[in-house]
Amino acid sequence: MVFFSAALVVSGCGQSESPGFRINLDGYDPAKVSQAQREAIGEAMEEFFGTPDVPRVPQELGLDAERIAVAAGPVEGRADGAQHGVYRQHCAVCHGISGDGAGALATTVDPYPRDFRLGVFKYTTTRAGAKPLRSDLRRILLRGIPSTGMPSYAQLTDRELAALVEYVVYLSIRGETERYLVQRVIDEGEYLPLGADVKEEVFDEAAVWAAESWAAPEQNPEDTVVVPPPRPEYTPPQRAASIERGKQLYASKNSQCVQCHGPKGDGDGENDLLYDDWNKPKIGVTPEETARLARLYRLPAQKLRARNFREGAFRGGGNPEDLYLRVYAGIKGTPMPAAGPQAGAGGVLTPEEIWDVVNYVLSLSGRY
Amino acid sequence: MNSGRDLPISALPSSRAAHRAAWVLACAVFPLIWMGGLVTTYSAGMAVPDWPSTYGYNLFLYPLASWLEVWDVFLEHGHRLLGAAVGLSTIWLAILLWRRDSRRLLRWLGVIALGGVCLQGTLGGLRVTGSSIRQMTIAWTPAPLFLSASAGLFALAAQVVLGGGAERRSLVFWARSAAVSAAFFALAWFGVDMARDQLFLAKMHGSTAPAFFALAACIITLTSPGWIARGPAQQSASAGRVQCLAVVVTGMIYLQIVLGVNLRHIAPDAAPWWFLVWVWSHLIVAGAAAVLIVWQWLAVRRWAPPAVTRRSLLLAGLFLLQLVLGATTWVTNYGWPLWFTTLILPVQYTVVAEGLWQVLSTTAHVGVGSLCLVVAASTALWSRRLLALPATAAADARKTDAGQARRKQRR
Amino acid sequence: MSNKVHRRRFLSQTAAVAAVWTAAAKTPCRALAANDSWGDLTGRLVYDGAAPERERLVVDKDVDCCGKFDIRDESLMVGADGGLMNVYVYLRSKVRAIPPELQKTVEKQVLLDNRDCIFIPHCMKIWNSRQEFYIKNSDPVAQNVAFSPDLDQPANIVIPVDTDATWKFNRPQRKPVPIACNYHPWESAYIFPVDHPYVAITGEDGTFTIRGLPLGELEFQFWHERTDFLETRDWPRGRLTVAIRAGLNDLGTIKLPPVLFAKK
Repeated sequence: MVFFSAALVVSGCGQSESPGFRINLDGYDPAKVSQAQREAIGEAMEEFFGTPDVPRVPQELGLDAERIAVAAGPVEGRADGAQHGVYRQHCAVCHGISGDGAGALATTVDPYPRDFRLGVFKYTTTRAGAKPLRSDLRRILLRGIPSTGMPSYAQLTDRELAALVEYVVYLSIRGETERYLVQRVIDEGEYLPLGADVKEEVFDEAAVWAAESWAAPEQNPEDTVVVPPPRPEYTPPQRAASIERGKQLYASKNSQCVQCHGPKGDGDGENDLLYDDWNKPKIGVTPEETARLARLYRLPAQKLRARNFREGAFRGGGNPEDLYLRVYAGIKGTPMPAAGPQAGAGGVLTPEEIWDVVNYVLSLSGRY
Repeated sequence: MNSGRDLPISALPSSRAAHRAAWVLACAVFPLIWMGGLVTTYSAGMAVPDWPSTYGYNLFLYPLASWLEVWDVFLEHGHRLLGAAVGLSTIWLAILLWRRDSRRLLRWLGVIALGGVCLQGTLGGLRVTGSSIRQMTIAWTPAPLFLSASAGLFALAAQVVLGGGAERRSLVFWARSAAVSAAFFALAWFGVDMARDQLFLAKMHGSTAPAFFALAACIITLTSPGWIARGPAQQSASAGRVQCLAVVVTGMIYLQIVLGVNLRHIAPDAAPWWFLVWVWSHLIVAGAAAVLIVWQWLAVRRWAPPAVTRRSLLLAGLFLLQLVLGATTWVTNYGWPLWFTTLILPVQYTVVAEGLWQVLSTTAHVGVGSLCLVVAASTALWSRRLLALPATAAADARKTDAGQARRKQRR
Repeated sequence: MSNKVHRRRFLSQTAAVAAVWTAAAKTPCRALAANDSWGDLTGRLVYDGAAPERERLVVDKDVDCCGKFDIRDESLMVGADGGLMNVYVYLRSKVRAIPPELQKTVEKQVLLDNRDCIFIPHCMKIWNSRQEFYIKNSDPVAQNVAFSPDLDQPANIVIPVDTDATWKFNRPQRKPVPIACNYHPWESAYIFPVDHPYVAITGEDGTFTIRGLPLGELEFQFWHERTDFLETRDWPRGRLTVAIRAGLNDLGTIKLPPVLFAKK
């Protein structure tokens, strides 16, 4: 009985916050943000996007409201097996109710769960800088991300997967809009309460804009999607030659692969202070500034490690085509740049050269 | 748990029927815990949104075809059916104990078991319908106040009606009535508040189950022929220490279960460090419990009767298995930790949500955890029954031991 | 507080005496200012203290090529006579009209050179609809240019030896965007993509001039990489409202205390 009452007390700890969207004040000193500003931001965001239980899906954004309804809200089953609240069931504990990548488990995993609010996703088939296709997000859900906390959700139904993808897009657009609104209200000190004209402007300049950038790759795949050319069929000597060429390219001053991935691909390049776009803002010029900044974010800064090819774990997938995409278009939101030609830049490697580098990397991982 | 000593040694304190009923109960509870673990692993708890009915059907009349059709519904409805079976066998056990057992403690243990099963069923039910209570309180903010005030007033009215006429005017009477009403008010307030938080209910549901399992196991022990026909206790100077250790081990294992429950039912939006708090305390208590369990076995293995040594050894074995299962659960849920892949072995693993290994290891960790508790409790009981300090001054020493144990327990 | 600052505040509040200051202007008035339907805004920002020692940066990557240069911190640059460099001064008010001359004379490209293992120049502005961002590499080692403008396509481009790249910004930003090189962490630059020509960056002498402004009350923003919005007692949130009159509007010399620019 004594134990049991202790259980009661212990379980009372760590209770959930109310499942509302958490305002994004990352990088701002909370003491310098007034209550009126918080309320103004919260109200405008709710007006645009609703709440986690009752999301609002503005028509202008071209999102599938039905799918979002399946993903949103509390976890619930139906007699026919139709699951609702799928996001909260599977994702929220890491990615957070708001999609801020700071759910309860966030600090236990490395890398952190993705913060959708930046609108950037690492492993896509699209060109550098472009938003992912929905099918890219779906692929991540199906495959999971090896050697991270991100599981494969292959057991979910198509309906649940589509709902989750759509909800992630919704959270991402919401997050980008919120960041813009927060800048306007806090950095620029918009007059409060926010006028209808300001809200409309924010909605057009951020939400509609973000939605358009999500729609762009779906509408113009020929401009945005990178399709790896068929990998050449090699005879054994050709293969060895390709790997050798890849090795040269890898080591060249032009490709700069060695800089981060190290001379032998062990992920131990001289550039070892790497941060992704989510963690970079947490790093100040001086240690004091970094310490000061640390208090302004929910999660402490986390270093990025260049991939060690010898481990053979490729986060975005270990197929040759996956690696081709990583080299060609880079890894979004990270220091890994796009080496392939893109609009306005000739690129550092031709498609043939990229295959050589991919073959070399695969040979390092023992997968080739 | 420290019951055995006070028994009247006189004839036939219990019936074989009660002993068998306790076995039936425990054998039903163990799979029920596994099934409950599965329900949580698959997040199937909300697959059936109503309670105590299932999609409007009476629990026992829900069509078989619909039950078997959807996996989540199969789990949740199956969990309820099995729970109902456990409830019925608890009633049967309580009746048997009440009517046939001459020991006061056992009769009341039967009643406590009955209360426990009702509590557990209600917790499970509220965990499902709790959202509607929450909705209600959102729709009408004074609802909790209204409910608790009603409870308080009802208690007051009952006392006034039942209280003697002359007493009514006395200050003591009113003071006592007010205190009782306030207690009812507070209880109702707490109850409503609890019922609003599904996560809290889930945690309580998860913490009650192993406690109930342990209670059933204790009743098996206390009604067993071996217990009743006790032979002379084995005397040893370290008996007191062993008995005390066994109780502490039981307490640690239960604490460990509660920590595990909290790990499992973490609120998605809880501050990220909460999870770390649970993880680390779960790890630390695991380490401490492992040390104590090994110590316990070393302390008894040379001299204690087999009933104690075997149980201690079984507990050590189970706990080892439990540690392995715990590590497996971590890996299948969150992947290999970074320190492991970078410093020890560069293994690759992609977590598969609701994959076979994840489901098996997680649920087994829950099941074996409760089994550890049962074995620990049973070891504690038997070491109380079969071990004794050397005859001289034994009675005094026992008292102090028991006092220490109780104090430790509270800590 | 100096007399001048008092006068400046008075000016900013009433804007009645802008014409008086025009006479004292150092910058010669050219074509636009002569036209009486547009005004120019000029001024000089001075670091009110000894020019800070520019810290030598750690060059530990590509040392064979970059190690020979004396690469120093560019986050606070003060000219020989105290002029504060690299302050962005830009229009915050909505743009009502832009003189056609400005639209015609604008350069087609904004150049960022990778030379001697640093970005040159350190601060840039770009008029999105009329200019493209041109990046070249004059070093014997591959360079990288990475920036993430808000709500716009992020860039992370490799510029191999002897090559170049171009980039289009798709939307205006509300403050300058930092540029980094992922290969050489010491490299740093800023670019400010906007939809109008009303951005000036103070030069080595601390002066700036924004040409061809529409007349009337306009709000300007001051920004520096060390301070973000350059907030002073006279410039709440780094903003200043000026009534622009035809011809040259001179803010005079503005002294800024070093404490504002201390590394946080």
